[in-house]
Amino acid sequence: MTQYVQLHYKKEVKMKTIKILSENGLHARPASLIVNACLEFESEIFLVKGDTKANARSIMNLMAMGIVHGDEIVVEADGADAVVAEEKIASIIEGAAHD
Amino acid sequence: MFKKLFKNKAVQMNTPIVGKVIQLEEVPDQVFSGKMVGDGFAIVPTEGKVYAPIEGEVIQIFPTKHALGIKSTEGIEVLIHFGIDTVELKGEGFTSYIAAGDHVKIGDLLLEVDLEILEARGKSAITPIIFTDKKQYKSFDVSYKDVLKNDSVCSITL
Repeated sequence: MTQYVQLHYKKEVKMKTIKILSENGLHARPASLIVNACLEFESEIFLVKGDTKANARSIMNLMAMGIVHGDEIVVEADGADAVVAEEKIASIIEGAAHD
Repeated sequence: MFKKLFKNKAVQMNTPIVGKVIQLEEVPDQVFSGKMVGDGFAIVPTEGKVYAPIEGEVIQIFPTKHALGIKSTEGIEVLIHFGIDTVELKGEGFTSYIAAGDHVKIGDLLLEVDLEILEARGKSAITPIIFTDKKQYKSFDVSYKDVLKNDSVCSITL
């Protein structure tokens, strides 16, 4: 039971949902910021929206998600620096709120 | 002789838009001129029509229809971003004839854009054409000139 709670907690921490506040959604400018920020990490990094998942290192994949104002997405990273990577990418997306 | 036989494969790309081909560095948006999205070139359109420059599959068209991506049969991803800051028009003035997953042939009409609406809204129609993944090609050679429909504009070495 304790094990379950811990796992659940960990998952809650890692899977932070971000609501897209930017009027223009996740278009070329914010997408390029994300791709460039990914270069400093070695983890695999993805953006997840519903059933779709995009490699955050690919501008084309990010734009193909068609993320628009009001969408809810999750940053998912896998690797040694996953936690830092998720925080950094999430903060870029939130910082682009007025773009 | 063997050098010639084994030279790298080159893919010819037609212009997607009728207009004037310019250097990417001349685009009045740092995201593109600074090559943050990738390398390529740009076109100053004289017509509001976008044709498939290369045969391949439509990867995406952004919900606002101002940007679309094609993956060529050879595996090169090309982003066509019509105008600067045109995401803010939210689709106004843009008519799309394609959807993600469509197979397109060179010259297929992909998008129509009302250039008068862009002008009235104060948006530049300068259109960056970007190769978004540099791992997919070795080099490319652009013809910087005025181009008409079906004119070759770029040779990409794989």
